[in-house]
Amino acid sequence: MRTNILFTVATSLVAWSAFAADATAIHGKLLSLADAQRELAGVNQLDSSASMWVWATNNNRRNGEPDYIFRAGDQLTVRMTLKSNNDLYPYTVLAYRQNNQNGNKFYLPGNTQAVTDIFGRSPADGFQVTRLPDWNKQVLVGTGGALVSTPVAVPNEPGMHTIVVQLRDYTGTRVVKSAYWKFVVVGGIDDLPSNITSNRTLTNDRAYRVNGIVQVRGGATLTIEPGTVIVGAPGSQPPSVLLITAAGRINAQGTRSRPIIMTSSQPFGSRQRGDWGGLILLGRAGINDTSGQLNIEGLPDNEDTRYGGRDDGHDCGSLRYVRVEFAGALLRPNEETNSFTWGACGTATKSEYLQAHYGFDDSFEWFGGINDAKYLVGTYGADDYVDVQIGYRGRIQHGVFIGNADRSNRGIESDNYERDFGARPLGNPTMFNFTFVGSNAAGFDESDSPCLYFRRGSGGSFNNMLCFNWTTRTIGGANIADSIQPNINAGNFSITGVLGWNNGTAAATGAATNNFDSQVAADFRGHMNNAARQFVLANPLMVNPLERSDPNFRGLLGSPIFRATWNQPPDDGFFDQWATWIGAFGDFDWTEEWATFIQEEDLRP
Amino acid sequence: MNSVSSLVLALVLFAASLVAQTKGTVSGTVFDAVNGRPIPNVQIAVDGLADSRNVTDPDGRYNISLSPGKYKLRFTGANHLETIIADLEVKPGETVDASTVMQQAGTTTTVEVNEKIGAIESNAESILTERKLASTVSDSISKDDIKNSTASDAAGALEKVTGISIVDNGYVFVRGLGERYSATMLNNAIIPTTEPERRVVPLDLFPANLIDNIKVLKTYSPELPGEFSGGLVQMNTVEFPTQKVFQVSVNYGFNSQTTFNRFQTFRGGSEDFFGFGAGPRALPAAIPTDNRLFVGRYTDSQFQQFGRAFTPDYEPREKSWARPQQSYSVVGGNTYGRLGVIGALTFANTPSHTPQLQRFLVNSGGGRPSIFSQYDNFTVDNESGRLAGVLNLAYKLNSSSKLLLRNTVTRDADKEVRQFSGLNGGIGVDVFDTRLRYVERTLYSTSLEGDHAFAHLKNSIFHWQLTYSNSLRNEPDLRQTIRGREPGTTNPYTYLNLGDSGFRFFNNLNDRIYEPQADWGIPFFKGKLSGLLKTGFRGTIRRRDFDSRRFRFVPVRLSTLDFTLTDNAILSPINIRPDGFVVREVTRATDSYQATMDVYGAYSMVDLNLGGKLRLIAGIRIEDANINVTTLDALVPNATPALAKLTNRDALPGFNLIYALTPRMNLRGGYSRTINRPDFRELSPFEFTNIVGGYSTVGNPLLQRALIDNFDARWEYFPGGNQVIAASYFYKRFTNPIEQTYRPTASELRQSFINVAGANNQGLELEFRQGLKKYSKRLADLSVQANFTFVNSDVVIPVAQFPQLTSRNRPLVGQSRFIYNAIAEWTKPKLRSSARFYANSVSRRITDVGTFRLPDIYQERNTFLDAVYQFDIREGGKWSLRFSAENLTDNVYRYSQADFLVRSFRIGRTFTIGTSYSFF
Repeated sequence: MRTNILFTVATSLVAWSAFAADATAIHGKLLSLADAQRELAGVNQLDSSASMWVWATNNNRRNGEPDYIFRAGDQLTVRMTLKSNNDLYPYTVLAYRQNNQNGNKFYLPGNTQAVTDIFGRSPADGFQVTRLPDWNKQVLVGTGGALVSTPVAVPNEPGMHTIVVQLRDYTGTRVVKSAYWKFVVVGGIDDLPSNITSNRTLTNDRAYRVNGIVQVRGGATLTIEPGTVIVGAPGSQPPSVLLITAAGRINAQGTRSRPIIMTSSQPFGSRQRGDWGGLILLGRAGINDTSGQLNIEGLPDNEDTRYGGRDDGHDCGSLRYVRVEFAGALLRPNEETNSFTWGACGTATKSEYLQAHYGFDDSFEWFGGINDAKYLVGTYGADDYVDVQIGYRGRIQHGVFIGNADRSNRGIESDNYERDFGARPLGNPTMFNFTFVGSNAAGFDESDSPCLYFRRGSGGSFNNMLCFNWTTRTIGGANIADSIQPNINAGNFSITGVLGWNNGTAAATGAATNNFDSQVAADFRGHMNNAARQFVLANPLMVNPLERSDPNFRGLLGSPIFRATWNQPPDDGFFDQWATWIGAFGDFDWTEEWATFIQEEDLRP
Repeated sequence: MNSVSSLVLALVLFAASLVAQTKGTVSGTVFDAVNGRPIPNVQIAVDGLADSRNVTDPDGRYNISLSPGKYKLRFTGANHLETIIADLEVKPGETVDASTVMQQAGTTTTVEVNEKIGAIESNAESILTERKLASTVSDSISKDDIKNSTASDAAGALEKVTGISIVDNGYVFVRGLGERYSATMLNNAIIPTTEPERRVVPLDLFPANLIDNIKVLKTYSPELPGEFSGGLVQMNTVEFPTQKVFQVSVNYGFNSQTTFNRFQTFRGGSEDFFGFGAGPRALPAAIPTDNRLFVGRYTDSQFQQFGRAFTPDYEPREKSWARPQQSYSVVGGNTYGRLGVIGALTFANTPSHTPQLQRFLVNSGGGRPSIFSQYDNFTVDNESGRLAGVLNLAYKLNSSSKLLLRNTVTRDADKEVRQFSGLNGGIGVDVFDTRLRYVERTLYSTSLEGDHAFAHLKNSIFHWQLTYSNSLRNEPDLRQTIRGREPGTTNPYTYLNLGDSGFRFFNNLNDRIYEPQADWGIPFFKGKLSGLLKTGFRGTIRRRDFDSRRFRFVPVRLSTLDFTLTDNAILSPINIRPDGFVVREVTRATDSYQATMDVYGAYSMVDLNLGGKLRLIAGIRIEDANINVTTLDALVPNATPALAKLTNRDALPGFNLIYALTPRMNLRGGYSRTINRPDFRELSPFEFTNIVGGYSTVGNPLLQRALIDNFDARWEYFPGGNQVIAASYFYKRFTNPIEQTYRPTASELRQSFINVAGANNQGLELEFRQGLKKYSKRLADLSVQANFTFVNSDVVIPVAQFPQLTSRNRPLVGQSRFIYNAIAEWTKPKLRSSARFYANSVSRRITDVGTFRLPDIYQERNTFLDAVYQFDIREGGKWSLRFSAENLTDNVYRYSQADFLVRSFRIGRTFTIGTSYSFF
């Protein structure tokens, strides 16, 4: 294979010159700096249409631990997929492992701190310029690897590490595109006790296992260091969940470089939704059930699983840069746990940069409460992405949600209260700037699965939503005339700023119809058929929205995402008013590095 | 199965041994005229000839074989006045009932009871006699009443009794009080239930042909177990024949909406028809029974193997016509010297097709409820197969001692296809739901008992009984699939991946009761003061094992599956693969539990005659109860068991006062205290998922037992013969009654239990049974019966404990305000014909308590008309034909909530033709 030839040659610096002589003959075509300069005169290369992802597996993986977890000395295999997607720009390519504790980088292929590109050339030598090849699950490091042909033993450097592959411009200075992979080196794995009743800190030099319900209670705070991996054990009933009771707090503040990962115990490629339960935060803020207190979905009913009260300021804790993967264990028919659940959390709760990856139930679900959230990523969930009910009154901004190439359900599913549509206080969240990209397949278990779905007396304000390629239609709902229209009339419900394109196919015709009547459920047409609602059906012109494992949702030139007429978020201390675009992304990608989009089948060996 | 087949064998052998007989039989029971107790050791002289064998047994019964002719019987006893029955005619091969009462010596008042006693022909009358003299308030239904009604099981028979309504096909509500306030006894032993969510066994499990009589005791007396308030249902299986019996009967029934119409069924075993279909539906052998099928424990290929082991059959099969209902029964018995034997065997197969409308409402916020889910095409097609048998043996050790061995087996299987379609508001989709369900229930009870009268110990009577009963419920391989489509469209339905779709469920319940009991009674006679001292003991030792497993086929990569395929095609073995459907076990930790309930009770009471008119029954019972529930998933390593425990000792007094206004008229008054204990699942702190009902249930370990104070008053008049007029008033006060409450979770309502402060229940009962002969000669062949019940109950629901419940003040669930029954009977011996006409009307009652500002759901008033006509082809009832028409009005069953009809269905009219033939 040509790609192999490239790397066989590249790993051997001695043979390099001989190869370069015949470089034009291969796909990953090498260029001289001068040729590159000549080709790109006057062009400012800002983005790449290529897609790529990199991942590492542990050759010494222990049963019940995911491939993320290494002990010092375990051997690592790194693989990569790269799709050039007709990107003919010349690039320089760098690959390194970074110890995120001290920032030290170890460049491949030499595995030393001296900076080289993947051909082993230092800045002093001048980086080798190349056009992009196409690689499919190419081994970079490991037996027969293109950069290092034997597995590399991970060093005794506890904590989180990142494998980074960068595409830099031909001068080797500006980074145009990167792929990241996180793993941890630990001394061992500890089982968390079922009850955490005094303050405890989980450090990133160990991994931790949740088996059954692990509940933080009795006033305790569970602190999780950045870069810590927590594994949910499978097959437990009730399922393995990390439950922050109303009498406990969590302080899990990862960073962009060292996110906190809560994940499946299974080997890469065979992880499934529902391998474990998920993360649940409960508080004492208000809900709109008359009893004032409910038991959380999916868990036995007892004092620890109840939420709701009168303290709207309740602090459930802080979550930043947290990934919850393969959660949503099946508790019983129709009851699965969500990846992230907030039950009656109050205003002091912090939630930012959170990813729900392959959740069985909803990615993010709120049961009452009034806590805000920002920067949410939901990937390949089997149910809804943002689900609110029982009188949720918080604010959410910046969210990207990708439907599974298999199926997912609704983008937003907003209820007031299932059992009493008219319950008060009214659930009236305010949401801004979400991008939904679906697979245009029928709903996973709800055959009426529009991108934005409102029912059961929902109130709220829903703004600047981009719906692309979703199921059924753009805006839908149930019980609209009976239960939502009164809220519209009272000014308690509005949808403003929707960019929809190719939502709803249908199985029968195979084609989506981009017209108002087919995109808006009948009972919402009165509300939406008004210029002030800014309902636009147009192609959003995103760079590469449908490449699942490495999508690019930024707008191309002329994209309606950047129209000047979109509605602006309020400057109320929470919303970012500078988000002048529709959907989640304007000028920068806030999912970079900490989030993962790789589909499970794409890293199956 | 074994016990059933041995019973069949016994019957066959027994039938073969019967020989012709030309003598006739006189039999009967001798009762004390004041207190109604049977009198043992009464000598009976026939035409002045005494015979030491002709003596009543400890039950007061006797049995004399005589050549045809007319006789005079003289009864003499140690403490009673002599009684004579004259002109008693004995016919060849027939039995004449010559029950009587005897007056205590020393009592001055005379009670005219023995006029024309020879005319007692019907069991109904003897039961009335018994009732008149009973120490407690009771209502009964005799074998004749059962035989002459349209009832095919005990539940149907009881429907006509004063103060009783039948809810959910098999559960008795007495005086508006639900099954939690009733108890059921079979042959004087408490029987376990086959239903994990119910306290008492459903009475539709007992075929009418096996039952001799059913008595409903409405007031407590200390000799009874303390845990009932509404009623104690006492069923007795077929009694010993006084002569050789062998009767065969066959019935065919035609239901207007089932028989010969299209009918849904599903594949199973070859013996489904008889109710033996569990075998082919058992958990596949490939599924490990020592481990749960959890992720990570087995490889993908093992999961594939497990998944493919399940029978891939989820679709019903339509039969172009349903068979008529069929039932067959055989009863045979005889007496061989000291040994009496009776056996009965009955089999019935009944298909039923019930189309329904079902709706679920929600409070839409717009001020009034609106429809949340609506299923216009909700059909239940069920085929029930029921096989039951009784084998009872009695052995007379001597004239004052006898032993009884009684065995009952009843099993019942339902093979049900349930389908519905319509908008499901929960998921906003038009669904099409199919569920295939097969349930087998078996109840086995065996008891050995002895009755001994000790003449030298002041004629004291000793009764002992050891009973073992076992209920089994086996629900193998329930299957459910759900398909859906966008609402409002007519697109084809596609397979939906919902939690209940691709679902398989296996469930087993084993409930056992060991019950030793003994009673000792000593009569005493001191001038005007006479009576009976009684003391006794009963231990009810109950054990339950409950175990279930749940599986679900979960799709992994949906793009590899074509969801437009039919259920059987999409879940076919080729799609059971690691990237298609994988089987997941979703058994919950609380799906298995063991429970024990031990109740030991001892009592002492006195039954005192004060002069001839006043009678006082007073006593006290002490009961110790100890309930334990252990929930433990044996297949999960290191699981910790969850325990629930309740221990109580209660003193339960009971007083009954009977005043004979005239010899034919009684006035009764009574007070008693009874208790109501929480059931296993109500007490366990863990959550049980209801199988039959919709809600999951979480128990409350803080539950206390409830105390009930019962007050009763009754006036009754027995004009003679088969006639009665009675009026009763009752008042019950509940302290800490256990009521249901609901706790919602995000996805469902969850039921729980709590003690509320109190409740009241009071009511009136009127009963009337009279021949019309005295009003007009033309009406000589007619008699009428009517009864009327009025109940007014009131539960006050505290807001703090039940925030979700809408009603703060309501009647008890299941209580109808009015229940009417009217029966007209026409008998024309000349034409060998008799007919009965029944009318039954039950006023509206709450079936579900409203939550979340929705009003309570009421089942609306309904009226039923039944008719039976019987014609004897050969005289003496040897060969008879029977026609019955059930549910002639075929009114719609309607359930309403607010102004909405939330459920409605009809059951159709059923016409039955049957014949029975007696060989002797």
